Amino acid sequence: MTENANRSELGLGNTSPRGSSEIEQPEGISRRGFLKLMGVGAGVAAAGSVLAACGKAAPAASTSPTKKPVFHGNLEMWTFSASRSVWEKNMAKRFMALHPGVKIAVTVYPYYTMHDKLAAAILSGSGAPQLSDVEVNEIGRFFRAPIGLIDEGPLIAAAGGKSLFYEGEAFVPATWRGTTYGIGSEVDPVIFYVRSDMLEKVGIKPPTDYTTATPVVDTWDDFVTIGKEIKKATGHYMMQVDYAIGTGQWDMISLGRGGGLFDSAGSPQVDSDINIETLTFLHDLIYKHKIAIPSPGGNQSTTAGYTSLSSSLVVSSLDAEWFGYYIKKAAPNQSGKWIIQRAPRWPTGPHYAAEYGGTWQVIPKQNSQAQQELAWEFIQFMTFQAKNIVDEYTVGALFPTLKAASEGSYATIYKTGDPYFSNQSIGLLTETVAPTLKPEHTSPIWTDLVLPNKLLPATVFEPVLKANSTSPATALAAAQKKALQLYKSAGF
Amino acid sequence: MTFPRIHQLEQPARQRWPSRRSRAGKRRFSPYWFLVPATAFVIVFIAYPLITGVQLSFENAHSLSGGKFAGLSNYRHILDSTLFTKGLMNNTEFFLGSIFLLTPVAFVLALCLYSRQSLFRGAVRLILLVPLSTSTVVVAIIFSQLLGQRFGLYDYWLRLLGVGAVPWLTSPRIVMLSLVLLAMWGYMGLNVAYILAGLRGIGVEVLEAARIDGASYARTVRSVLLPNLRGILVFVGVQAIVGSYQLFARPDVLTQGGPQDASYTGVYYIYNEALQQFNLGASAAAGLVLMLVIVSLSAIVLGLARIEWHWLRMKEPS
Repeated sequence: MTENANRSELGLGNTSPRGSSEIEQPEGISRRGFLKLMGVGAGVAAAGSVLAACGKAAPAASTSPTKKPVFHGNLEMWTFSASRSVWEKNMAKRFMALHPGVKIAVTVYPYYTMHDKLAAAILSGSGAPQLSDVEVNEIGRFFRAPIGLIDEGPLIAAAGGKSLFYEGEAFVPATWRGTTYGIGSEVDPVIFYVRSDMLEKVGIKPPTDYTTATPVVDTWDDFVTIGKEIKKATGHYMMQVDYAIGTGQWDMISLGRGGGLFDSAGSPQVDSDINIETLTFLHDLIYKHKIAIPSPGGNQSTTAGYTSLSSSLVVSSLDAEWFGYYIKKAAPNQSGKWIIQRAPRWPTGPHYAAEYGGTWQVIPKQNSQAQQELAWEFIQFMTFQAKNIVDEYTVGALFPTLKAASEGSYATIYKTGDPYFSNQSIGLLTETVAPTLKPEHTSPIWTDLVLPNKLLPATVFEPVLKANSTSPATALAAAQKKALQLYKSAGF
Repeated sequence: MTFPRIHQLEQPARQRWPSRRSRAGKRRFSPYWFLVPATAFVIVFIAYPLITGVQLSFENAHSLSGGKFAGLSNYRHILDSTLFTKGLMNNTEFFLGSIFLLTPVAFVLALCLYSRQSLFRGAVRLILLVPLSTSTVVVAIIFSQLLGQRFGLYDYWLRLLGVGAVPWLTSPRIVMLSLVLLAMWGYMGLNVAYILAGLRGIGVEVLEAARIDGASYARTVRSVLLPNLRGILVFVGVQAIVGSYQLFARPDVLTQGGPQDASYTGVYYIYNEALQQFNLGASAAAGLVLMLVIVSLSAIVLGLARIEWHWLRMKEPS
């Protein structure tokens, strides 16, 4: 539509006969004058809003650990895990029954959506929930300035202290430069799942005591030997190796040897000797020993990854304790054919139980003092009380970080064998390995390193493990250089 | 009982009619009152965010409340970034794919549907429009299963045909083509609808004249239909520019910008700077640069169309 047509239809101009005859031109104010006035108004409104935003009151201080809470008000909680949200919704119902003045809404969003929404709310200064879950691969970005989460350290101390928990998993990945921004409720140690029927096909009988006896696949050398036998006898691969999302088996094995992505100060160390050696080992599993494949979905926690298990394309898996829940869901027809054991150890050097995964409950600063206090009360209710946190295990096989939750009468929950895993108990195995847990140190660039198409998946895992186009040492050295640049550009 | 006389009753106050002058004043202002809702909408939802965006792009901002004035450093940061450049190149690749694959196929389909001899026209139109009613994210999730390697349905069919697996989403060379094919699936119906509407707007007498002059079908398409569809095709082109340079949801769900940044886009960079790096200043600067690219390319397309129109007018016999 032309300018003249616009003017004539609105009756503002005198180019149209209809406009000039039917509607008088305003005398006191011209159209240009009116628009100028509106422009000034817009400018004032914009400036006012910007000034208002600049002058926004500083976020409320951390909740006082000594003040008596008022159990009244509404809480909104964001989460991303369907299985974990069942536990959280149950907890919300119990909490509301105890405190009728409180209303809690637990909202489940898709993984990336939830973390992006939380980041956007913190950046914009409004719209954040009163509490939220944050997953391990996402927590790093929330340590970039300005940190929009409250320091939970004094609250934890007042509630009994960190020693009540397996500290490595409960606090280390959520603690940046001495401040603890979240509390993790799951231990998430890496264990080893393997098909007993495949072992039997090559004449291996696993020991009945799966927690203390030397396991069948004791070392990674054993893994290679047995894997070759199984491949020869059945044609099945021993393992699928993650390359597209997260740090996968590389970090699980490396962390179990005392390696990891970051040093205790949060600086990247991706090209450490342990990391290079571990990646070379995984590369050799695929291209030298030919007993492993790059995961068909890029990661074993994908539809294609689960199909690899259910179709018996691969017959073992190295992953955290929560992965057992997904194996059961993906391959119900393989009930009784799986057994569990601790992760194989590197033939030399120390051995730890690597942690993999984890979710922390955080409280955004931007809410009022009363809301922060109420949110902390709810976190305490869920995480500090054994009778409540054990429910997370029954829902999603997530072993709690609260030590008291595996003692006394609660211990029976974990000791009950699971027919799917040949009557072995993931909880009991987890309890056995949890004291040797090796957590990942955190860093604000964690997210930049591990998310899909980020530094490590794009420049290390994909070229080394999938494309076989570069050597582990070369790829990791280049990635370390880039990681250091990222670390510096983030202001550290 | 006596009734009060009429002049003893309290008389209602005489209605005061506005003076001629105030009536004229009200009339003078009345158009502007009609403009207020639209103007307020523009100020709140377009002008204010734009002004804030421009402001943030010159600041070292890590929250919406702004930061210290940073001059042109954010612009230097994004122009130095190979990722942003790579994103714009990928956007351009997608745009060219859309223009040279989607539009010609849509044109041919529209011609088929325009013909009175074609069968099941209504059903075909409906089928073409169905993808439009499906959420982009849902479509992307479904296609991630269809295009998956080893367990993807398409690969299964290809294996049955004796063709090897195609790395639809995992090869840097193929991934953008996969996204264009996915866009074709999604937007074919809309483009066909636009072109079909344009074809229907062409006067029967024009086609009749071409027929009487003995023009072949190909000649009629080239010399009658295409020139008359110029406006529609320009519109489709501008839509393709805007859509291509705002590409985000599909690569986000299907490839997260990979592999090796082969499906990384300009909007992905904006998203990454804002929500991953918490660098709102650079994100705002990238947004403004992207907006300038879209506006410039659209202006070029419109300008070219106008030049061509003018040239054709000059060629017309007087």
